[in-house]
Amino acid sequence: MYIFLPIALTSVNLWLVISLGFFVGLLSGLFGVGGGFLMTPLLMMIGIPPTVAAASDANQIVAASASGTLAHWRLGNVDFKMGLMLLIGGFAGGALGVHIIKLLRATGGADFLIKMTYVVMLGLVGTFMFFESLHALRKKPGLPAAAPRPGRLKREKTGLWQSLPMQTYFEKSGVTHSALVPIGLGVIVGILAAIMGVGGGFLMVPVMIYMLRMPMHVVVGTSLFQIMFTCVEVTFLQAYSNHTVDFILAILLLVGSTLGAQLGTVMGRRLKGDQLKILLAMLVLAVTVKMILGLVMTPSLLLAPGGH
Amino acid sequence: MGRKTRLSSGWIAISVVAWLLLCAPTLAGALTCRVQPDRVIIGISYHGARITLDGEYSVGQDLIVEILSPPEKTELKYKGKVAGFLWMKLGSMTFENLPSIYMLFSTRPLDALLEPAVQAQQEIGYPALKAKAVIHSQKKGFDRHRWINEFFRFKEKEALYVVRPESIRAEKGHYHLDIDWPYQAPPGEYTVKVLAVENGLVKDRTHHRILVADDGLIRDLSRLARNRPALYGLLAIVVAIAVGIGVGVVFKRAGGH
Repeated sequence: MYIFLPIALTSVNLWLVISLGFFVGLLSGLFGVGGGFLMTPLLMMIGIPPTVAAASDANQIVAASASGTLAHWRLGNVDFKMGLMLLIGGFAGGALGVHIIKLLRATGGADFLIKMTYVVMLGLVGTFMFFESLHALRKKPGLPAAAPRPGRLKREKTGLWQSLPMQTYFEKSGVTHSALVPIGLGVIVGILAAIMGVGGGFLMVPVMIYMLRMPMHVVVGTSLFQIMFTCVEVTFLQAYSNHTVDFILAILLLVGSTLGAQLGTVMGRRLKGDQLKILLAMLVLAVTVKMILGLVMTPSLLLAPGGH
Repeated sequence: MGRKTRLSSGWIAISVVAWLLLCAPTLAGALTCRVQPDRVIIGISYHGARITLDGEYSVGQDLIVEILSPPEKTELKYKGKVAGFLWMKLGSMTFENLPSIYMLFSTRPLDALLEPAVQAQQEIGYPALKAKAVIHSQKKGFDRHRWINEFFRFKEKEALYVVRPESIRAEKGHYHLDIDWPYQAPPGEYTVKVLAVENGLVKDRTHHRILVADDGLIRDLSRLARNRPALYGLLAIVVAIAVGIGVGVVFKRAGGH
């Protein structure tokens, strides 16, 4: 059964799009990532123009993350205080990142920088998470590895971060940080996300695990909460400025993704923190390998529509 | 005798008229074209259309059918190698004066029907499109011939440029052509040109049009997105949040958590 998309101006198989939404929604509920880094290329593969794919994907992530946030909130897994601070930083960083990319485009070579940043960031994050989780799984098979190690806690308490002003206790995550830390990290992730043209979930999750030392189950819920607001902003701006949000495509995707997100949350509860992390690491590494192959293999066509 | 002669002349005249009527479709200047349907409606379940062209022509002639949209400007990104091994989009390339849709069908390969000079004069085929095309690029010293060929390959991959020789069935003065109209073709008016060819020359021609228009929900959403983008954006967000929360509530009631 085929459905015609009014903004993408193309026809797609209804069940194929719903299945894509379900698969990416499952990852979203499981790992707390928006899935934009996977969904946009998948949509482009079935013939959706890149700009419409990215904008409509942001729209469907609003639904998936709203569904996921609700599910995690019921389980007590959303640190609203931390999420709000990361969000403030993320918004500021996103705005800054958009300006940086405009400057880079004017001077040329922006595409090279975007692609290389993407590959390097994904590669580093994926490799680090993979080996860290593997090490933790081998060492302490019974313990949740996201729990901060005492030695590290001691180091952090005496470190630079602990000397910053506005120290705040984040009850839900059980950590104390200066409010400037999540805001600052939010800015950095926001800049990188804007440069790479993604929501930033796959960057924010490792930041929350390794730099903010939050427990894995709270990381997923809080990340979804933050992603929901980021994608609300992106959807509105894309619809208003570029007219690239395809409402029908987003509806089809979100039918699949909201169901997938619920199932992902249930599955996530049955997996240990390190098992989740190693699965996410493998996914991130698979995307990195695909991107590297895309960069080194001769393309079948030397012309392409606009966008990244 | 005079009456007999008048009768004979009458019979001859009637016979000639009858012969003319019977053979009319096969005489020169009798090229016709019917397009069914000539109006394609894009609805919610649209996945392209099957369009049939048929008509009459003079026996002994060959036929060429050309379907095209008005010329327009297309901006694309071109790819190239960076550092000797990394393929990247390096910049923009604008193609002007080329149609967004171009389809060419014929009874025999185009080069077997018309000399290149006649193709150019009649503006038929890829070489004629190449001659008219204007390319602007950030790429310095680019090979025009190579990049127009790349443009044709890009369009063919999108099913918007089609060249199918020997696809028209022509027999005993009647021809028939089935076209799979691509769903990728945007709403608009398209020109259908039918040319009858003999001894390397175009002997007759006729034209028709195909109108592609959106309708119902597709038209309404498209207009809303274009004319009231803020409302459209807000609607998209509200529906997404409502569906997300709705599914969450349903899952809770169903015992999902």
